[in-house]
Amino acid sequence: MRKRLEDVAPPTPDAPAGPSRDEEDATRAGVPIRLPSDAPPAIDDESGLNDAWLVERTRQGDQAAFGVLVRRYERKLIRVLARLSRDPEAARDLAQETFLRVYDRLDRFDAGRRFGPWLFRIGVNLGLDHLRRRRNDPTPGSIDRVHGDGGSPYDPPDPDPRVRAELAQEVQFILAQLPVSYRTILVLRDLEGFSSSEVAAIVGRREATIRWRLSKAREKFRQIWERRQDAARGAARDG
Amino acid sequence: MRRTPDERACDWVRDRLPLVAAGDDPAPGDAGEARHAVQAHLDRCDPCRARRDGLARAMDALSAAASESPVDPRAPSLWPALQARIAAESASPRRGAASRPWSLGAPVGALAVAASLTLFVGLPLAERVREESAARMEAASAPLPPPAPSSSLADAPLQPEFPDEGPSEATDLALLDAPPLLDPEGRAIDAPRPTAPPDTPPAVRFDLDRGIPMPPDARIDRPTY
Repeated sequence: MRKRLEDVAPPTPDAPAGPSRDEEDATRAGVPIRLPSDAPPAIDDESGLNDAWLVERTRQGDQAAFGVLVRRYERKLIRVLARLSRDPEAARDLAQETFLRVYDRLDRFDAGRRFGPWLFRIGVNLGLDHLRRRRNDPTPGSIDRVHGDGGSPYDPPDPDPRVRAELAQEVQFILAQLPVSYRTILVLRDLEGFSSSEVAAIVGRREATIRWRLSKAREKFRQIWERRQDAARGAARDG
Repeated sequence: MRRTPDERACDWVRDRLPLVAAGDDPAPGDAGEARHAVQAHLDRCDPCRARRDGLARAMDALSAAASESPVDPRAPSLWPALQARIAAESASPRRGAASRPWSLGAPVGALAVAASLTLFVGLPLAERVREESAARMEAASAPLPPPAPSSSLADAPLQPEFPDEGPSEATDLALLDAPPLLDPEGRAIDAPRPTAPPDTPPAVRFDLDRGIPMPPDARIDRPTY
């Protein structure tokens, strides 16, 4: 297995000096700051910086700007990849690879478009490639192997966190039964909350196609969910 | 088997239920109308209502799963490791140039490669073409060799074809000195005599396509191929 990047990472560099009050106001408003010197501005208040400006700063060689983009999107990207691949460790590796590709291809990014869907498009494509490779070479110990086709379904939503975790696992199990195209749409739209237009931008399809595919994916999910719930009720009755 | 109007209405509603039940618009244009039509159908159709309820339960499960993160929220950020890898690749000249295509190194490197190719491949090739062209021009402009003097068989040096069986050189000289042979009219038999032009038939032109002689009228003013 590939060596994890954290194992070779140096300690995190010191945080840059904090910006002045004017700079803080400007960054909160999403306005790029122009300093009197040629030195790149210190990035402290990350939330106010818009993606396009950070991309431009990265193109000019400001790695701290790219760090802001990474921190802004990494958790959601890892979640999407983990839900697609059902392998959190592989999801972190795939996310790292995604950010590296994004960094390498930043000159090809159209600044007139949104950075987020472009990033997730690269990440989802990497995730789908990973799924294709794994289909040819299944990894032992995956959740599919643990449950198998006869895995027991779980009860409907419950406030107990353990039950919620089991329910999430059951949902993941059903998602794994769906075709990859349906699974991708459900993960992006219903689990991660992307809008239909964002999903269309990520997967490179028209919005009407996404709506049609979302309808089919939800219906397929319902069929498998109800079948497993009926089987669980039947098994409970039989003792 | 034909479906009844009610069955077709159920199909229409069930196609839209997965979107309407989750609060999505089936289509940008007819959102409100479709929602009202679906709701009106559900009010009077028990099977479709059961389908709607099943969908709602499935969507509830999806929503509950959405709140459960599949990864540890306390996991460290990827950025330190990424920063180290980016720095390592930038330090490496080969990967550094590839990983920063917008930097100055990439076009300079491409130009250097192109110049090297020109030097090591293009110049020898051009030199070879130039030499071949000069050789062709020299050959074309060279003076033609003088025509070889036409010699008759009599002037050709006698070479005994079968030296072992033929006469010796002395015998040949004796033959040359001997008086010429005369024909009955008193002329030497090897002297040139006027000959009548041979009665040759006119050239017959062939139709090359058919492999047969062309008719006489067709031979007039026709190319002979």
